Amino acid sequence: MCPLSQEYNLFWLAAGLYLPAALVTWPRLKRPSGLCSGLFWCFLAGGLVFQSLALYMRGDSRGALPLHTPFEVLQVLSWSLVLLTLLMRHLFKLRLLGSFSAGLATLLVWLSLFMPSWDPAVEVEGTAAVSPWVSFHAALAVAAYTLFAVLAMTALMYLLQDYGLRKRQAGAIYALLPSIRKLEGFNIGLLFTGLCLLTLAVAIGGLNWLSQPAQVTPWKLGVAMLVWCGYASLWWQGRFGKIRASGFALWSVVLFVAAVASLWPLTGRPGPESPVEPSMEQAE
Amino acid sequence: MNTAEGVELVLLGCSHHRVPMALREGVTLTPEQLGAEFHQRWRQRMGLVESFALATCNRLEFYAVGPTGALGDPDALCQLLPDTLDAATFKAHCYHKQGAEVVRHLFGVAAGLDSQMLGETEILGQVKAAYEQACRLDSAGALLHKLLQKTLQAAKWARSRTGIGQGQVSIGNVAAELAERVCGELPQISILLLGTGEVGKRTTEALASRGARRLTVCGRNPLKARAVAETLPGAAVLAFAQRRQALAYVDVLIGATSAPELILSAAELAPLMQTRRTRPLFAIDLAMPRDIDPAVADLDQVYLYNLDDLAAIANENLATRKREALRAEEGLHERAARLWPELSRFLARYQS
Repeated sequence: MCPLSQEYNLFWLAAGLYLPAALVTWPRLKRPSGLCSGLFWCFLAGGLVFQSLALYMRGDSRGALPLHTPFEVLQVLSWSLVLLTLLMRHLFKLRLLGSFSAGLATLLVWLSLFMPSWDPAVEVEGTAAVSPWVSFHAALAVAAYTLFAVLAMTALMYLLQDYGLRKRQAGAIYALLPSIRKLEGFNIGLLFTGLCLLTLAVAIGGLNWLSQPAQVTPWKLGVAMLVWCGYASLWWQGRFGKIRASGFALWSVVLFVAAVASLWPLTGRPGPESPVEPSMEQAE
Repeated sequence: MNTAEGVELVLLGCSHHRVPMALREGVTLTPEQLGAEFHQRWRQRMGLVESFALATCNRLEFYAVGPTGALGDPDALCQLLPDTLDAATFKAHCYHKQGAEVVRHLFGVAAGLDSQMLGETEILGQVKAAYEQACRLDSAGALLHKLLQKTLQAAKWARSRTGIGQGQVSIGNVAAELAERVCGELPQISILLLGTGEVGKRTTEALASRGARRLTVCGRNPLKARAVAETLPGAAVLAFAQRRQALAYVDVLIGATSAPELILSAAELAPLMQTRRTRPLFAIDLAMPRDIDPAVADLDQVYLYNLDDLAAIANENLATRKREALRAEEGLHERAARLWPELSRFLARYQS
């Protein structure tokens, strides 16, 4: 079996475990079924193990961090989202966050697996060719995107809870969702932390661009700045009370969708006339 | 025991379904009143081989394994019971069940299907405590041990696999659940009761019973406010004139005054909400005429509910529980039918 197909088998195995993890919680909301949460965490942890192996193999074959194609970035993003959820669940103590994160990770993983065009063949230079600052830039950007993914989930939970309260809904899901107050505190904290990381990532990426302008296209730079401006503007509006809490949550979700969509230009390959481009995807 | 006659599983009891509220006190006994002495006399007098008694505020039931017809006459049983029992009321309202019907009944009781508040959980604890007492007194034999263990399992099944306990069905508990959805854990949130009306007081009591500790009562009449505060655990009293300052930090506001005009307008609250970002306000208007301007519901981070809203949620939850009760009943009947042949074998063994 060739390494590529081995990787894909592992990615599919991970996807196969994330799916039941994402589904196992929801029947309990309709009707308590007695399914233990241990099953959920087992599925999630199992999926993470297979995904980690697959990403390791992909990185090994690249000789670099697997962040060269939208497929790889989505896989890494879902991997870090699940890892963060598993590691921080006792710290966050947010009911249903694991279920929402599992849902998002499943969506990202399955979407990337069903789109072969998102994983084109890529020529990559060895590790020695890439500046460590570029690697640092990419690592920070992935960390920031992971926090924005968690933010999108907590914001979605906020919107659901807010909807339920305003529409006088009293279903089981609303009783299980965290309180409005707790979710809002998390939303603000996650946005602030994610924005700090993204600012640092953009600053390092900017310095790299100044030193080697040919390696980063203006289009890529513009998209990265747009994402940063979006989150910075949202933070500013939230900080100074210029936006309603529900609007803040809604924009957190919209911005995350936009941030994921921005992966295509951010991971785009340079034209044949351009030199090989060591940007976010060459972080390795 | 005369081995020539049949042995049966029987139940004699009365509950809130049959006994009117005014008479219910008369047929209430404590588990202590049904101790070793009672069981000993009961078993000797009627020739029982096993006995079990369940006494709650709404229910008094006697389960026994003994000769056919032993529990058919409530008179004989009442003679053994403490004098505090109103024997006439018990006899007039008691029911008698036998065989598989007893199993079905006990399963339903333990699951909360027969409770006054459908799906309540307290009854399961009471059945468990009564069973523990029966174990201590050694009044339960092989059959009742089997029956009660299966009863506890069946009740747990009904609670975990159906929605009979989902949602709150009383106004106070609905308010408490909503407060938790808005503000988080009740011990950490501060509650301001505006007014000294009974509904407001009961709602605040419900919040306190679920863990709320930071309670403040504010009324036009300071004496009445103090009197209400004294009935609430750790509650403080606030002068009516200071109510607006309190809104800067209060998480739950309960409006229950008899004032003819609005106590809180949206224009008053809007600037206060600007100063308390990430601190939503849950406002409950229980007054009629209203205390809180309905327009406050349009403010960011303010969730306004009135009595009708709370009642609608309670009724909706009750309707859900009733639907789920049918499903639970079906499952419990199946379980009872599966258990009965096993219990019949115990009866046959006693008989032989």
